[in-house]
Amino acid sequence: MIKSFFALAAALVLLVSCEEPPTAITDSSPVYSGRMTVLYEGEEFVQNGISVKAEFHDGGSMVDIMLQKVKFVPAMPLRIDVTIMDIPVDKAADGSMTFAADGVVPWAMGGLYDTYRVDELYGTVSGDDISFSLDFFNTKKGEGYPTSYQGQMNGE
Amino acid sequence: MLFCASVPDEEVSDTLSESYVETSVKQILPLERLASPVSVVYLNELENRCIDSPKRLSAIVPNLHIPDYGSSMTSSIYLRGFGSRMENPVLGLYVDDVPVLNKNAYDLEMLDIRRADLFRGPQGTVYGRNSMCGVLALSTLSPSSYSGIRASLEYGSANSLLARFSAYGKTKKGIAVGGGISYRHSDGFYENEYTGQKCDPYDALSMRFRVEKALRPDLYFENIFSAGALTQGGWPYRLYDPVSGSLSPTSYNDRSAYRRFNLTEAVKLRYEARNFTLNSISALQVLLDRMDMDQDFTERSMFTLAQIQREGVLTQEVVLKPKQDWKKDWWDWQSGAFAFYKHNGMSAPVTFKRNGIEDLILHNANSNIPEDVAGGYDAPLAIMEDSFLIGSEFGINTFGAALYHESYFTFRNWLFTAGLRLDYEGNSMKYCSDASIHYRFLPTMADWKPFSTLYQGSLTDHYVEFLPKLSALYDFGRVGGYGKARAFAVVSKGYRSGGFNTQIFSDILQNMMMNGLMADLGVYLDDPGKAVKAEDTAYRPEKSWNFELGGSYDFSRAGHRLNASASLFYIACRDQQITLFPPGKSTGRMMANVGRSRSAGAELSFMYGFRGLSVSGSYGYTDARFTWYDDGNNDFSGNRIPYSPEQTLNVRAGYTFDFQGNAVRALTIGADCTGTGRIWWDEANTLVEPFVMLAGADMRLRFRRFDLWFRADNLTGEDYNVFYFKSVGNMFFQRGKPFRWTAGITLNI
Repeated sequence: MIKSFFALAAALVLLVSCEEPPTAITDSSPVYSGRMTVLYEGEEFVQNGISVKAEFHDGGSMVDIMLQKVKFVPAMPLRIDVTIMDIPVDKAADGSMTFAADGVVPWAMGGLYDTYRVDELYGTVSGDDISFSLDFFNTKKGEGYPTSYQGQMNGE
Repeated sequence: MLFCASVPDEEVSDTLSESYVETSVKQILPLERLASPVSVVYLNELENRCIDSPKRLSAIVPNLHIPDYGSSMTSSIYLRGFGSRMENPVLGLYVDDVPVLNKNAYDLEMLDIRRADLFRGPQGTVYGRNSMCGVLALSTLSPSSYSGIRASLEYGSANSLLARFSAYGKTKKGIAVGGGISYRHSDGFYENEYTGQKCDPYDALSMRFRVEKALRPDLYFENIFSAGALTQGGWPYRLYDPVSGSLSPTSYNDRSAYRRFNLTEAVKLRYEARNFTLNSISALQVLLDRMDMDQDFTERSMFTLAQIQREGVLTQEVVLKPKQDWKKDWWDWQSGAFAFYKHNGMSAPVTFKRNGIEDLILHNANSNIPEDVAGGYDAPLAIMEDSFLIGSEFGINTFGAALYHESYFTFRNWLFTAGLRLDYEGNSMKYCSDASIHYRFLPTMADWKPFSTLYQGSLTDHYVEFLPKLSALYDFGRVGGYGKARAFAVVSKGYRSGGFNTQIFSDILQNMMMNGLMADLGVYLDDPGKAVKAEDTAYRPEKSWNFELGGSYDFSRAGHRLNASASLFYIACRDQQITLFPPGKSTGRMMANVGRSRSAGAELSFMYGFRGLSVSGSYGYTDARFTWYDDGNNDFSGNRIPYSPEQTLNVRAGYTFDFQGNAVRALTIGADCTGTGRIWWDEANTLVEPFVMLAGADMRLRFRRFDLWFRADNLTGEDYNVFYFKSVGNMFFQRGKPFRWTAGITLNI
């Protein structure tokens, strides 16, 4: 009888454990590949195959979004890595997450790159998919570049 | 005397002792029976004309051009249209049958050189690697055939001084011992305007010691030890303005110097069996040198190169020749085996200085950073150091083995030669390049960030070459009862070794460092350009087929003596090795196989003597062109091969007044003209050096025990260029040496 009780208790513990949110994304760094679209002078500037690394930290409550080798305008002769750091993450019961931030100075080229400011960032991570939108605001020119991204962990 | 193609039998004798001396263990035919043009310069001629280095044989030997520029390390040799300014030469150099494997040692002091034989055309079958266009064989005085004391002291322009002493003789036990030592100094001919001093001072000490003994009646032993040390400046390069066509004075700020120590220890054994002769030549060669160079050759502090080589070479050759029963009247032959191992431990650090960091590194990077990203800075990327080092260490091993055979068939007036050589050569290189800097991207970074780049690895390469030769010589005998005439035809193959470019590694690391630094910043260029990798630094052997027709004529009657020769050649070359300057503001240069080329030409030479009069001359014409060379940006097919002259000319006349007196014995006066040109300086053939004639004169007063002499070169003070190159996008020339004179006293006791 006592043995049956402990066996039932152990099974309940395991069951409860299985029902908790997935721990895979906690402090993990999934890399996505997908499409980035920048609205530039009224035209959509589309770049495929853009990698985005989402680096979760602080127990998964914060994320750094690193956009790798991106251009903001077609005429840029180079690509740069841009990281939007310390974005708060909300976890939903179904395991999906949302993240949002406003007025963040991105990290690029070895430091905080205050020529640009990230406004109106909002994104979701659901399963293998990530999507977000933001406005890259050029503080010197006083104009922004609305940008959106959709990617998958295993490619587009 | 200078002889070409053919030498009368009586001249194949030692110029001092009159005894017959073999020119080379490999040269079993008399020179006049060689189906190959050969120029011979004897000791007297070498001394009369102040030929104190192989460079001075330029143009005296038709189609040979060894420009005198840079430093003693620079021994660019061009012969019959081929050659290059770096890496392996097209002309093999042998001193007393020992091959000199490092071109850095080609510019040697010609101390007591008994004779110099320059065999033109591929000598690959017998001599193998790097004898693609010919072989220069130097023979030094042998104590077995000469005894006495020789000494000389000379002084000339630029405070040039040469002192020599040598003694040769035999001990009571029959050991022949000889040796010599020489010291040479010059203040230099070119001024560096930046320092206000001569940039090419020169000091050199050379010595040779030779012991010969018959260990047994059938076993002969020779030991030849030679060593040399020199220290000098050099590189009097002048910046060229292509718009105005003017040259700026030589003016560079960083130290440029060359130091070299080299020694050769050779043991030669000859075993005379009943039916064969077996020669063994073993040698150890050591070369330690260091070159420091202001590689931008301007007053700006851009970058400097130090190149330190620590090289050791072992060579072993065995030559078997028949005699008695093994040798037939109609068939003679020689067979040989050769092996060598060379290790070169080389350091080639490049120091980038402030102007170089700004111009060559940061300018390229910053010019690609768009205004938006630059954050208002003109030069957003900065490097903290005023100078930093790109270290480059190399361990290069080269090894090879060869087997060869040549047969000589005599059939009536015909002499046929058939030969084949199998050459194997392997190369391996370990490389390690590194650099460490601190950098800042000013718009975003408050502090300097350390950044290091390391590039290391190894490469190997090896190849096999078959080098055949076929020739026929017909001896017409006496033509019309007067002179002897011969004609020959030869087909032969030669090759120049492949290897690795080491001088481009600083460019590779510089490129890697910039790309790595940009990646560290998270910045990536859309078009980073094609980067040279270590694998690209290997270059293949250059191979050529040589087709030649020639003839010679000797005449001797009633005191008149004439010797003349002529030849026509056609050389087809594949995988030609050319020194390339990578595009843009690159700092290095590299050897590359560029395609195919051909060279066609003619050579004439003669010597006439009557009583005290002697007149000699040589002329070479070469039309050397790329037949297929497209570097991806330009098609150079049909253009002239750069650096090699179209024509060489040398004419000399001399007269000896024989006084037959006890005090003054003779007076010899001579005058000569040497011409070289045209020379195309670049693959596009946009820069051309015209044909230039240089006049020289000499006088020698012979006494019983000593000579007094005087020699002058470039009598008319011709202004001409001897070298052109590009560095960091700039064009440079070096001018030839101005008028100069030398006077001296020579003792023969």
